[in-house]
Amino acid sequence: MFGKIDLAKYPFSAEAAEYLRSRGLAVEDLASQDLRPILLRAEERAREAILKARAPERRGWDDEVEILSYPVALLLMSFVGDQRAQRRFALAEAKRAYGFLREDPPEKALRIGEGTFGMRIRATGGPRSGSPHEFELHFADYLRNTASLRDGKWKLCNRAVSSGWVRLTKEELARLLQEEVYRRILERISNPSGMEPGFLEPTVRALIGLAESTRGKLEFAEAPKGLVLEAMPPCIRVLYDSALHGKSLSHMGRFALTAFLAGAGLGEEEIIRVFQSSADFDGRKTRYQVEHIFGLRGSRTKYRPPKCDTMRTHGLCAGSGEACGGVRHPMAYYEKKLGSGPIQRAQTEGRRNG
Amino acid sequence: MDDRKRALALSFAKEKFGEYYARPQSRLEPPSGLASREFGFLFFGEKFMLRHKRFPSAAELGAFLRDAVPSDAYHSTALYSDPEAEMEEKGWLGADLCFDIDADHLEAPCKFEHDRWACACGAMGAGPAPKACPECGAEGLKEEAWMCESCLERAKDELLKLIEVLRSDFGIARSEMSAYFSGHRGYHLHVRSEEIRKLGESERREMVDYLMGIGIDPSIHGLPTSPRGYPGRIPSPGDPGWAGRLSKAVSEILARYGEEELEAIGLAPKAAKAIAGERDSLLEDWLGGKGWRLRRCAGGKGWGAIVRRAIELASVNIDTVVTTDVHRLIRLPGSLNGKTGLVVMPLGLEGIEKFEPFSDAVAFTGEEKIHIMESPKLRLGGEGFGPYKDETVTLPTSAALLLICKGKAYPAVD
Repeated sequence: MFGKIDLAKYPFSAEAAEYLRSRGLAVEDLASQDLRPILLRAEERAREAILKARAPERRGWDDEVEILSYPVALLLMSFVGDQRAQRRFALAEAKRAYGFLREDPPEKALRIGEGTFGMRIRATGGPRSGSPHEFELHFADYLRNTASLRDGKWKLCNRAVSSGWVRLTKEELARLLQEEVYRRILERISNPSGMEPGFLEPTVRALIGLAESTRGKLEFAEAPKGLVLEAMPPCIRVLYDSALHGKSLSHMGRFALTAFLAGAGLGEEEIIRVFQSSADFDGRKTRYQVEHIFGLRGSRTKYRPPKCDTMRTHGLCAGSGEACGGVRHPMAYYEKKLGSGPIQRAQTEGRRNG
Repeated sequence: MDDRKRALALSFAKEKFGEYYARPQSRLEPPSGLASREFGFLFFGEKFMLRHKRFPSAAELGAFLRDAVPSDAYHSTALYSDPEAEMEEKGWLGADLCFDIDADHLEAPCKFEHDRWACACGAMGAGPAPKACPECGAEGLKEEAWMCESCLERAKDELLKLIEVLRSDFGIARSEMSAYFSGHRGYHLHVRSEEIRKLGESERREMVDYLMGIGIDPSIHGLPTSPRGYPGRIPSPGDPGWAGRLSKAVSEILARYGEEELEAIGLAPKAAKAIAGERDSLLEDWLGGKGWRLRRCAGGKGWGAIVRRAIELASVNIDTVVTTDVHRLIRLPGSLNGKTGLVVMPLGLEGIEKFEPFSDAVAFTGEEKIHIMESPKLRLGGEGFGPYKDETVTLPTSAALLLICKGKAYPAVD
């Protein structure tokens, strides 16, 4: 069963698209007072995504508004045009879907995967049959959706694979569907609709202003003082550039970059700024993570970045032993390139001892 | 070799290749979707590749080979809407998944018997070239790789392993795979299916990582190697994918490795002795799902060494670049390899085990009188020849052609 509540949860689904067609609404209709809630809700979706990379709480809106505000929010975001804002919006909506798919019975994920994204999925016994896996996904569909997931557990060689099928839990399938939703939304909003904003113009302008205000302070032309980009090992350089260009990093990637920057003598504020362009930037969370790595929270251990072997395992190694001159640790590469032995860490040292 | 001798050698090779392509039933096997493929060719005595060629039909391809007589013929693994256009405008429609298993990339002790390297400073040595010259420190040393039966046997084992993993893990039907002898030092495998065709480079790279075990985390498969890690629920041979293969590889190590081999992979002498001494009961334990006793005998470090060795045994050694590049040119099946004059031989999957490259890929009969400057021992068409040093001999045409293609000989003129 796929009821109206499901259309509200999964407004990107083939079923929702069918429903929208049957409703036959035109953009101009949104100007009417009756449909005002739809536009408000759409704006809220866009705004919250730009600010927090999160979809807003439901807050009493009915299913109809929830369904219809989705395509309107997409339209708004395509007018906004700002790529970073668009990525944040796609991510927010994709994560929202992930949250619902995790909670819903497995049939929903199966239906959306097959019906909306054309994935080849088979339901297996799941917990009933004594296996934690509830699904099998065709390896081509699996690979398409794990290309950007850097965590080692997604590497195909770490999965149970048989006859072209990859075993997954419901939660894992939901995570891969998040990728599909993200790509589909981004594809739709990054192509100009060919329409004029018309009466939506003020709303769009406000959203553009919001996108710019969250970004303005984040960009810095040169690297933070004391950081020698040329001496960075390739793996860290890739992470650093990705962060600056607003791409989201895996947990391990974020950890490695933070620990590296800390090791290179950067302060917490400087490090937090590196992450600010990231599509899924969340100020509070980032601060918490950075402080944790600095040893100010939790176990009070100051972390070092993972060694090369670990980076490789997590798919984060961008060079090779040879290209890096046989070092075993990203920090060693940096220190060797700088030619100065271990780096002065006076500023952080003091704080840690204090 | 002076210019005159080189010219003689080239025209001899070209004449022979011309004869081959003029035969009514050459072994040419044009790829599916011929008209959507790009073709590329090398010619005798020329350095540049003729690329971006397209042939509407197999007959036209055959006529080109007959008339132009290239030394090497290649086709794109990809299909394009306009194969003759510049790379960016070709319109990529998809690509076969291709694998290259090259003896160059495999460990083989015989390499020290037949491969050599030389440096501009005059230093030379046996085996694969070191990274830098031990005499003068220069890099990029010249390597001379010779082909040999045992190297190619090793490559064949890898090919069979590859086919098995593609079938069992990826569900690729044997009918969708075609295997070829490269005509020199290895084997090629082409996978042609709708499913595979659309895979992009990052997906193919992930498949390569899978086959080679790159980025594998043994603890996910129940074999933790951290210093204090103990195997809990170890994988059983019937488990899907890497888990099952790792289980089998550890059994193989237990069943086959003696003390010496265990030490060679990094076990302490005491641990190696303990394992070799109790091999039967350890193996029984292992197959019964219990791994802790092996872990205890091996010690933390030794256990890690066993798991690493198991990963090596279970992985397939392929050339990563060939498989991930979706714009690659690959040798045309049934054409001749310009380095050897041997046929790039289509092998039925069933025929791989019986295939003997140095007999079955021979394209010529008859004899030729040639002058050989230097040559190691070689076997061809079931006969052994050489070694030779600065002598004139009469050899079967295919052996003569091989030495001429390798730049080791030229036709003798009376």
